[in-house]
Amino acid sequence: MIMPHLYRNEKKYLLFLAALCLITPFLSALILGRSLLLGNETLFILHRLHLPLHPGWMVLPVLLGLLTIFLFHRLLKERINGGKLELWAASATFLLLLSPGFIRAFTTFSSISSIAFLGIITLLWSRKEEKSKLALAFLLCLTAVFLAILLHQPFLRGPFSLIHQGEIISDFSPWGGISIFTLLLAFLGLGIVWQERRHSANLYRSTSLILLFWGLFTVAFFFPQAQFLLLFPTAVLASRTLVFLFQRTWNRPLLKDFTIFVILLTVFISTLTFLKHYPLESPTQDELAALEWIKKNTPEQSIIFSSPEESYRILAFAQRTPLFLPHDPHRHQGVILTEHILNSSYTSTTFPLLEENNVSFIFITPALRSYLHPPGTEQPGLLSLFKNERFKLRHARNTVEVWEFTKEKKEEVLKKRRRS
Amino acid sequence: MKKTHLVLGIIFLVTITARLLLAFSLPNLTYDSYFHLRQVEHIRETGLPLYLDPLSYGGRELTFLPLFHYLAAFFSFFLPLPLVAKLFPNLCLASLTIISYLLALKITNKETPSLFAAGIAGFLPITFSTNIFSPFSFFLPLIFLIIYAFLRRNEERFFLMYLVLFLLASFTSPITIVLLLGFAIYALLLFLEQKPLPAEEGELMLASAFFFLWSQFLFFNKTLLQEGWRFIWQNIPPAIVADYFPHFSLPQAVLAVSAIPFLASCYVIYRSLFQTHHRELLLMVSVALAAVLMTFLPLLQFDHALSFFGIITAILFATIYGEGEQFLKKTKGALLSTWFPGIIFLLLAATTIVPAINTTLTQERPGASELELFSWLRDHTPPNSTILAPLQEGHLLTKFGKRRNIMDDQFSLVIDTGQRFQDITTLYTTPFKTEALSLLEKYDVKYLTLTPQARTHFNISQLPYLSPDCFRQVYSENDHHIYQRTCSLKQN
Repeated sequence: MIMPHLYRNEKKYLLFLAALCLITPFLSALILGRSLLLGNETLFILHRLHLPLHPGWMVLPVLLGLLTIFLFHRLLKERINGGKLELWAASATFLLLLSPGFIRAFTTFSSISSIAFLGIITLLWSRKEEKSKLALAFLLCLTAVFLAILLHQPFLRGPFSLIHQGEIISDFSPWGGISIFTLLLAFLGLGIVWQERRHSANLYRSTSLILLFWGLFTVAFFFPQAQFLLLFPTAVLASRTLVFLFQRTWNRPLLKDFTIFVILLTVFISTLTFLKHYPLESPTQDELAALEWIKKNTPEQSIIFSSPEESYRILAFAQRTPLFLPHDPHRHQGVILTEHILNSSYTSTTFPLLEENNVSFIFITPALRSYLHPPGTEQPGLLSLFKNERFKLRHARNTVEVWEFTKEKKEEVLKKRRRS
Repeated sequence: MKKTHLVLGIIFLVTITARLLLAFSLPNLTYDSYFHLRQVEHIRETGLPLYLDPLSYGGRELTFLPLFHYLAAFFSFFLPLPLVAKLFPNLCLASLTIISYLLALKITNKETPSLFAAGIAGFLPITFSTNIFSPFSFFLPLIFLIIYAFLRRNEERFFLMYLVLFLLASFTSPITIVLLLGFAIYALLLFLEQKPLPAEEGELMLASAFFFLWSQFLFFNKTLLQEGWRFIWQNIPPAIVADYFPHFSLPQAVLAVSAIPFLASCYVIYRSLFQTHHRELLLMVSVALAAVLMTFLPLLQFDHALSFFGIITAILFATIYGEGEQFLKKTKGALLSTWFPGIIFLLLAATTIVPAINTTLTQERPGASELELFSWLRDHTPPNSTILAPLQEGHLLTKFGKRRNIMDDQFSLVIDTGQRFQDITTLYTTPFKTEALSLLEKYDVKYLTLTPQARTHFNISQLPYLSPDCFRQVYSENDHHIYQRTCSLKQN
C-alpha cells in the first residue's frame, strides 16, 4: 500500500527530502549561533565578486540543488527508463540527495556543481527534437564561455580546503563527499551491470557507465576537489544494487527486509553524521566578532596568521590577507610554514618566520587552541611564546583571541648587531 | 549417555580444571586486563561504560564495543568481580573444546577424530593464557559457534542462532570482519572452481556484512572521522607497532598452535584448495586464510590471528586423523591401528600441553608490590595528580591509583600518541634534568614511579636526572619507588 503511494508521488517526496537535506545545515548553523555562509568557496567567491556577506545569498545554491535533483530524476527516467516510472530512477535520486558531497555542493557556492547542473541540462536537451537543437547549441556555447572565464580563475582549480589525495569518503574525512556504504553498493552495482552488459541492448549503456565510474573514481582519488562528479555514477550504480536486492526473490523474505532496512539505515546514519559536523565548520559568533574587530582595528595591508581553515574567513570577514590560501599553487609550502610556526616553542625560530612573512596579527580560535594544547598537557608551541613582550593581546572573547606581533625596534636590532 | 559425550565432558572438565587451577594459583591478571576490569566496575556503578575517562591520558574520550563488559558486569552481580574476572574468560575458552568437537563432527561425521579436535582446542598454547580478562576470550568461541550455526543454517533454530550470535559478535569485537573476509574468500574460491554459491548462503553473507558495517559505524563513526583509514591500525604509535603486528615468525607460529596440528592442517588446506572440494572444509580453510591474510596486511594482531588459525588447525586435524586411521587399516601396519589413538594422544600431549603451560607461566602480570605502589598513590597524592608510569602500567595507575596517567594502550582518538610515547621514554632515560623537568611540566607530572618492570623495560637502574634539590623519594618498598617533583624549570 505504501509503495504504490510512493511511486505515484515520488517526485514530491524526493524534492521534499532534498529540501530537508539542503536546509538542515542552515537550520543547525542558526541554532548553534554560527554563520549561515557555509563553505570556504562561498566566502572566496563573495569576496572576489565584492558582494556583501549576506546569508540571503545561500538561497541560490539551494534552489540550484533542488533543480538539479528534479532534472537528474527526469534524466534517468527519460534517458534510461524510457519514461516509465521505475524504482531505479527514484532510488538513484534518493541516494544522490543523501550524499554528503551533494549537500555540501548545494549549500555553498560551488563552481563544479554548476558545471554538473549544466551537464545534466545538456544531456536532457540532447534528447529533444530538431527544433530544440538551437537552444542546445546556445547552451553549449554559454557553457563554453563560462568555462573559458572560469578557467582563468581559481574557481575550478580549488581545492578550498586542505583536502588530501584519497579523501573522498565522508565517513573517513570531513571533506569526503561519498558515503562508504553508497560506495560499497556502487561496487556491487558494478558487478550487476557487468553481468547485464552481456545483453547486446545494454552493452553500450553498461560499458559507458562502468568506464565513467572508474574514470571519475581515479580522477577523484588524485584530485578530491572533483569528487562531486563521481556522485552521479555512484548513485546510479548503488541504486542498481538496491533495486536488484529489492526485486530479487529471497529464500527468506525476513532477511531481505532486514538487509534493505540496514542498508537504508546506514546511508541515513552516514548523512546524519555529516549533517551533525558540517555546520560546525562555520565560524561562531565569537570568531565573527574577532574577525570584525580585525577588520576595523588593523591596517589594511596586515597579514593575519592562523590555521589554514581560517584563511577564507580572514579574507572575507576581516578583509585582510591570510598567510596563505589552500587554493594557492604553493599551498604545500604554506602548510609547512604554518606547521613550523605553530609547533615552535622557541623565539629564535618562530620570530624570524613571522618577520619574514610580515605577519602582524595572530588569530587564535578554539579549534587551533585545541590542536596546540591537547588534553592532559600544558601549553606548548606557539601559545607558550605569547608571554614574550613582542606579543600583545588586542582582542579576546571567550577562547577567541587576536594577538598583535610587533616588529623588533630599530634600537634593539642595532644593539644585537653591536653585541655580535 | 553416549560414550563420546562422556569423553567430551571429561575433556571439557579437564580443560576447565587445568585453566582454573592455573588462573587462581597465579596472582593478578595481565596488565591490559585492568582496563576492562575498570570498565566493568563502571558499568556496575552507573550502568554505562566509561566512555569519557578523566584519568586516561589526563582525560579523553574512549570508544569500544561494550557487550563483553556488560556480560561480565551482569555475572558480577551473582559472583564477586575478581572471581568473575578469572572464571568467565576461562569458561569461554574452555567451551572451545565443545565447539571444536561440534564443528569437527559436522565436517568429518566421525566422533573419535572430533574428540581429538576438542582436546587440541582445549590445550592450544596460544589460547592458554589463563589470566587474561579481555573481550577476545569471549569472542573467539563465539565466532566458531557462529560458523557452526552457519553450517547448519538450513535448520530453523540454527538460522536464528546464527543471527543472534552474529549480532553478539558484532557488538563484542570488530575482529568479526575476519569471518566476513572468510566468507568473501569462500565465495571467491567457489567462483574460481566454477561452482555456484548457494543463494541462501549468499543472502546470509550479504545481510551479515551490511549489519556488521552498520554496527561498527554506530560505535566508531567519530573515530573513523578523526583517524580515517588509520583507525584500522588503532592509532598505535609507530615505535611499538611491531609489538602488535610483528613480522611473521614460522617457528613461533608452529609453537603457538602445536606442531602436529599445524603440519596436518597445512596439508589439509593444500588438498582443499587444489584437490578435494568439500564445501564445509573450504569454509574453514577460507576463514584460516582470512586470518593469515589480515595478519600479513597487517590488519589483525599476530596473536589473534594465531588463535584463529590454531582452533582451525585443531578442527582440520580431525579430517587428517580419520583418513590416517583408515589408511593404516589398509596397510601392513593394520595391527597398529588399535594403538593409533594412543600414539597420537601421546604425541599431541607432548607438543601441546607443555607449551600451553609455558604460555600460562610466562604471562606478563604485575606483582603484589606493584599493585601496592599504585594503591599507595591513591591514598597519598592529590586527586588531580598526573603520575609518570610506563605505558604498560598505565591501566594499573588508573585502576588502583585512581590517578591520571600520561599514556596507556587505548590509543584511539588520541592525537599525539607517538609524541607521548617518545616523551615517556625520554623521561625514563634522559640524563638531563632540564629536559626531564620540561617534559614533566608539559604533562603537569608531580610524581614519578619506578618499578622493576620499568627498569627492565628501559634498561635502567635509576632515573638518571634525580637530584635531592628537585626530587624527593616518598615511597620505597621492595625495590619499587615513588618520587615527588619539588621544583620547576623556572626555579632551576
